[in-house]
Amino acid sequence: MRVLVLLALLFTPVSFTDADPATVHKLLSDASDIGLAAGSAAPEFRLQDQYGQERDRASLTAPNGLVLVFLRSADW
Amino acid sequence: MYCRGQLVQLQHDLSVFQHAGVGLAAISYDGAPVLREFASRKGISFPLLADHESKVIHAFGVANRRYARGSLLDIKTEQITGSPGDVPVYGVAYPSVFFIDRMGKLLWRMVSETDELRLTGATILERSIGVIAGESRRSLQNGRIQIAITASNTEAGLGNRLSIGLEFKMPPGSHFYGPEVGRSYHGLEWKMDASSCWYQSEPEYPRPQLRHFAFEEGELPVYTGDVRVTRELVLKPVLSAAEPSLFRLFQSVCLDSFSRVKASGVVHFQACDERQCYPPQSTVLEWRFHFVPPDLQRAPPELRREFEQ
Repeated sequence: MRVLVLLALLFTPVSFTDADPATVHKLLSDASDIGLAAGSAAPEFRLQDQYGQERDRASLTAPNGLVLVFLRSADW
Repeated sequence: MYCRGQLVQLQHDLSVFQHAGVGLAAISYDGAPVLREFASRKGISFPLLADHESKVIHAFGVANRRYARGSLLDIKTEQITGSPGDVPVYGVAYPSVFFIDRMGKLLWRMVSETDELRLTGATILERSIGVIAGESRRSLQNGRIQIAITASNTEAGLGNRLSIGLEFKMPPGSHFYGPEVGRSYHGLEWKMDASSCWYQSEPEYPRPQLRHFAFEEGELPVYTGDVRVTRELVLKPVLSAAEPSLFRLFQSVCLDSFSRVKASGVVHFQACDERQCYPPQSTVLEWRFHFVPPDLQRAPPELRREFEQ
């Protein structure tokens, strides 16, 4: 019985109640009402990296641009 | 957990960024000591930036709206409980990616309200600027039309968003029909098998040409030359504090003896040339990805954030 429940859980996404194509599409789509819009100017910033070095946007940008990834935490 | 996995994945794809001439940096609300310990433990060489007061996170507008000032999160259950030992989460970022050009303009962005799903580095570059840097490409010879299957990555961790593709190469004078052709024609159709291991997005078909044929009234949508179709595959984020055995079940159901996860499907199409149409064809498709286990190790207690900044 427990195995059946677990199998049902595996087929039912943990964090999502549904996984039909429309739901998957929504999960993978951009949450457009959050964050700066494409086309706007990126804010300037200066932060310390893991080596203790101060980094600003210009120092991180390579000839073809910069990808900035925001994430929750490297701890938890 | 998904963040640590994402950073390790980005490090794995760092050469793709370097090859594309694009810089890469990650920002979180962690202090520099946490980032230093993690980078040292996992060999992360690209910049991890400490936005300890969440100023840059707020400037980009991606501070998580669910967490008000004073919120304390039980990270096992992902619930705001306020119990001792919970983590202050005001100012935590939504998982987000911004592509910034040399002039400082935001060219592309992807902000997710879902914490568990993360684009791989190769998928970011493919989605943002069209750099096809797939790690895997395999040809399937199929008569007059050649088919290759591609994947952005050969490895996958829980919650990873990968890009997979089909590439068709047709000889001059040949075509096949677009997915919306209707009538009695067999249009291109790429289906993935139902899976308990993956989410899969709908395929992104390129726009077909509209062509008039002597044997048919009106125009028909066709593909000629080289055609590429892509879709996303997401390895299900099955780590759950409420049901820890789910991950063990995932391992037994989804992983083969080489610790690989399989995704499979089929593509249907019908090829024609100037003289005739050939019988409809179906080609079985299969991808296998090495599974990257989750990193469950937190920062040492003395480095963890205890108070709201």
